[in-house]
Amino acid sequence: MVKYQQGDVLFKQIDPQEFRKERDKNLEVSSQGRYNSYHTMEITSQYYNDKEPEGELDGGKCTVALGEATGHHHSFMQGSPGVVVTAYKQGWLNSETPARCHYVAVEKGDATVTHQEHKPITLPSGYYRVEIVREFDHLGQMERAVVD
Amino acid sequence: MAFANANFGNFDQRNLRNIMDTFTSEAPKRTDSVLYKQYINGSRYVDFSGNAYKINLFTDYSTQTWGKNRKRMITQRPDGIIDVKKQTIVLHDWQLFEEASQALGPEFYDYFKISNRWSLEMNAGTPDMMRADGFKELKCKNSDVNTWFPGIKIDLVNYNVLNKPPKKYKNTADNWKKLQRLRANGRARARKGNDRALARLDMYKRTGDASVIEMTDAFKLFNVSDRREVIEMFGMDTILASRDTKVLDKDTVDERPYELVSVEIEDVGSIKGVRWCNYLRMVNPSTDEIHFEGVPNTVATVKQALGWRDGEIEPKWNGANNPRTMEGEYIKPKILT
Repeated sequence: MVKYQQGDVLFKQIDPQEFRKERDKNLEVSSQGRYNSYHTMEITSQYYNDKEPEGELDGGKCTVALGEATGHHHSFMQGSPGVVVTAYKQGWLNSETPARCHYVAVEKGDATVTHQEHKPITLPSGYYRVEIVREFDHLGQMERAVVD
Repeated sequence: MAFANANFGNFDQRNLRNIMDTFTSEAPKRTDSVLYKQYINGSRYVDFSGNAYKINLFTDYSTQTWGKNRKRMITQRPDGIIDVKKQTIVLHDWQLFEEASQALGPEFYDYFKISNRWSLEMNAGTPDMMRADGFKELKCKNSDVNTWFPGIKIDLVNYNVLNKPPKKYKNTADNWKKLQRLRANGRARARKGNDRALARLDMYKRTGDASVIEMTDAFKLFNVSDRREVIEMFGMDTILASRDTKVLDKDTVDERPYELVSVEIEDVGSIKGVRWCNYLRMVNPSTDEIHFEGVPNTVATVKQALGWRDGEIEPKWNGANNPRTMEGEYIKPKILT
């Protein structure tokens, strides 16, 4: 597995087929004739640079994680011409996690993720699972995603 | 032998008194027997069979004809026995409590509620490790019994529990509750510690008075950005010098130094009043700032700590009496900034 790390955010590259399987799970109907809403993947934001931003998704910036104390954010704001970066959220998202999405699809080129306190990294075209590193709180005896 | 394949009535009418009345009227003699199947949902059910003296209860799992238990016979001990004359019920299967509102009626469920409690662990990887096995917690309205145990006997007139749990069950429940209390207290202390440290940091930001900040705030603040401010103020080495510390492992990944440090921190909840806790000390490669993040005490090396942090290495369960080992491998990031 190839992974990229910018501070506390991990981008773990996944197989395109695995991603498509996850994305299309919400289209599957269970044996009881219901859609599984937990698996529903929604687009949270999108970045593209080949046309003007439009609609709610704001094509100018694609934020994958947000720092609650500093307001700093890991966002895709640059990329090769024609690149499309789409962030997906899967089902419900725990409000305590700083992650804003679970998957990122970088298509039609390379894209650069930036942060105020970290050097930018360029992700090649592909599909990535977004994870936040965890830490162990010894006083509270519990593990949790790192918050900043 | 009469057979019926219907419920005892709608949900509101369903209660143990109606069930007993049904058997009393339909099978008044000891030699009589009727069978009722009470559905608890679309597929699960409880069989009631007996007469005006004794009613046996079998859950569908006990009488199943599929799966690994398919050879089990209905001649086994019932999962529950109602003594109609003495107005008592003896339960041998906890599932009957779980299904109580559907199988035994809402009135019974009003008096008894069962919850599954998973096993707990505290201070894993240290000599102070505490562990409690899980159990089925029972909340009884009219009794102080707090755990399920096989053979629990209940008075159906006032819903009292008539027997006491065996020592094994009682000790398991007491041990779990004690550990749960310690854990809840620990978490409350952590939250309070974070709130107070945050208030001090806020005061410092507003007044510029650095004396309000305590060195131990570096361990108390939840937010790593806030924590970093405290570390910058005192310096990590000064903070560590103020406490007993041990460097467990040093490593360099991509020319970046990492240290796994064990620090003695105060813990009023522990027996000795202090506890050794593992932290990973690292440097932000982009800004050269020092970061300090907690890792479980079960990790022994920097690589294990990094792997655990990234979700690639997990502690492996080796049984209740054996320490956990770490399983998995750390994958080095292609780019780290």
